[in-house]
Amino acid sequence: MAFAPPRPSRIPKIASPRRSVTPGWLGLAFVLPSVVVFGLFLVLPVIAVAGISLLDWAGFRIGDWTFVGLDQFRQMVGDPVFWRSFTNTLLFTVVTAVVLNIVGFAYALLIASHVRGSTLAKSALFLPVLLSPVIVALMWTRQLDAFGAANQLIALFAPKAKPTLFLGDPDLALAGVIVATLWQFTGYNMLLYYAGLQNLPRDQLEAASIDGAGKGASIRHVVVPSLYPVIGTVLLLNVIGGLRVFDLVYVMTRGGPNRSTEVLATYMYEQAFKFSDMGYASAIAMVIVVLSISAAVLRIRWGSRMTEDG
Amino acid sequence: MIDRYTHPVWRVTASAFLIVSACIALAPIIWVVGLSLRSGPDVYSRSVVPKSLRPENFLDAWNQFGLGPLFLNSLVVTTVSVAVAVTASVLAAYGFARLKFRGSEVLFLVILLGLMIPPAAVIIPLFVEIRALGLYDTHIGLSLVYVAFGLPISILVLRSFFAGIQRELLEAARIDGATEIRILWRVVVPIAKAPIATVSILMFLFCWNDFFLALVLLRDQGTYTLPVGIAQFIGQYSTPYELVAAAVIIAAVPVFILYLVLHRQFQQGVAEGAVKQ
Repeated sequence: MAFAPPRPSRIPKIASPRRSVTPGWLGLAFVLPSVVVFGLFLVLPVIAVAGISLLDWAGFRIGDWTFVGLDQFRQMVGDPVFWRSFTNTLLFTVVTAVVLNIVGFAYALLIASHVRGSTLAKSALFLPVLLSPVIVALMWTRQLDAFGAANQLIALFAPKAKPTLFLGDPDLALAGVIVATLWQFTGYNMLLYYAGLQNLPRDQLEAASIDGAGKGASIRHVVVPSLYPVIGTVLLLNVIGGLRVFDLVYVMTRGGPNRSTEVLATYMYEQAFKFSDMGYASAIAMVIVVLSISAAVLRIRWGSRMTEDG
Repeated sequence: MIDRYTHPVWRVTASAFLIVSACIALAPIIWVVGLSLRSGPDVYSRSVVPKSLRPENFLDAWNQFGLGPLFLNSLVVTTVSVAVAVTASVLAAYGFARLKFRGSEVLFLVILLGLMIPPAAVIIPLFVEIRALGLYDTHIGLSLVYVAFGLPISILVLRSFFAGIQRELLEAARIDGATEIRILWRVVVPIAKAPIATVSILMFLFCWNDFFLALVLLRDQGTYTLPVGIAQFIGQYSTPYELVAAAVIIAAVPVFILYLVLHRQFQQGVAEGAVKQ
């Protein structure tokens, strides 16, 4: 396995495989640091979470557990709070994914037309993307409270109205969290679609315009079909983002009032780190894993169908 | 592109709409800036425009919430994590792209699966593992976890760039007798500044903004990073609103400044990182 540089006298064959020059262990050595960290802190936990979901365990001492099989999952099926957080997570995910995609796409089309104000709108809409969700959550908690911007705006039109506590009202709290999320991520979606628009098939667009196709027609028949892969990616990112939502809910409402904003991640956190029920919390985590992977599988299936022609 | 046949009326309407949108997007931030400068009864007034002006709120917030140490902790954790993740992923991406070995494709696919795993899904075993390793409540433990979560996207972005480098460039260096590590450092890295910048920006945003992992893996207030610190200290209802607002603005300022200086790189980096998935 000695490593020797090829002698200049040897004439290399045209398609000589590089493997003869670089031995296999060398490649392995390059990837090793990453593989070790990744294996220890991502692969191992993914396997372990499935195992822990079968245990009754407070998490204090390793080995100090009882094997309970699928009991936690049975408990989950009969747990109304789990179902509340499950439906809230799905509702949050679907609403944010749909709205963000549509609004993001519309803004991308607008700024791609390069009218005056496009650069300003692009930069302004993108700015919240960079903020920590904690900052966004604290900002919106203030906007939505009794003395916040939302109530000030209402007071402009209805000075006599009593202030609405958006985050204190079980019917409005989830909507409040969703609004904060939409505010933060519209620019993200806009930017992704904008990037996708830069790679459009120019010739097809020109052909459409020469054929006298209207703006709506060329968007429907040329722009949207060639953006299918981008739509898939953006949808997947939004869905995965929605399924893992934690920060905004935790900081804005702690899942309240009365569980009305409880999502899977906050409920799992409460079970694990407040009630020390690692087994049950892991069972909830498994639901997050399964949902995320299903979304990815759907995306890969959908993506391979949509991109066959290009 | 699609602006070819657009009516002037449409262009004016679109412009107006975009400018209004920009204002709406910035309004919450501006409102919080306004709140951060209010004092006394003006904090609770129903007027949208502040009537008082008290910049000292920022000093008070800085001292009261101990923002100095929080900034320092965030800076240390982020710098270490970005440096380690970028170094490790440059090496790994070069290995996967240019030094293929038996099983390297499979290994790469396994790492890509990491893109699909949300932190919430694995936080319990991570917590147990970090504690068992004696890394609970340490910046090293948190950084290692950040690196693990940052590797998949970093390796993906860098690998696709490295795979596109002309073979002749590397062969020339090999014939000169350069070792692979030297080729990577002297030939590849200098032409890969753009993807390395992308990867660094994505990693910076991830570490600087993370709340969930830091919340679970840190316990002591002295080790808190900025998001955990402000969320924990400010969550209490007794904190004066105007100081909360001031703290939030202070916490956001570094990212604002970076964005002002590097807005093109940030927009490009975030878009590229996402589209690659």
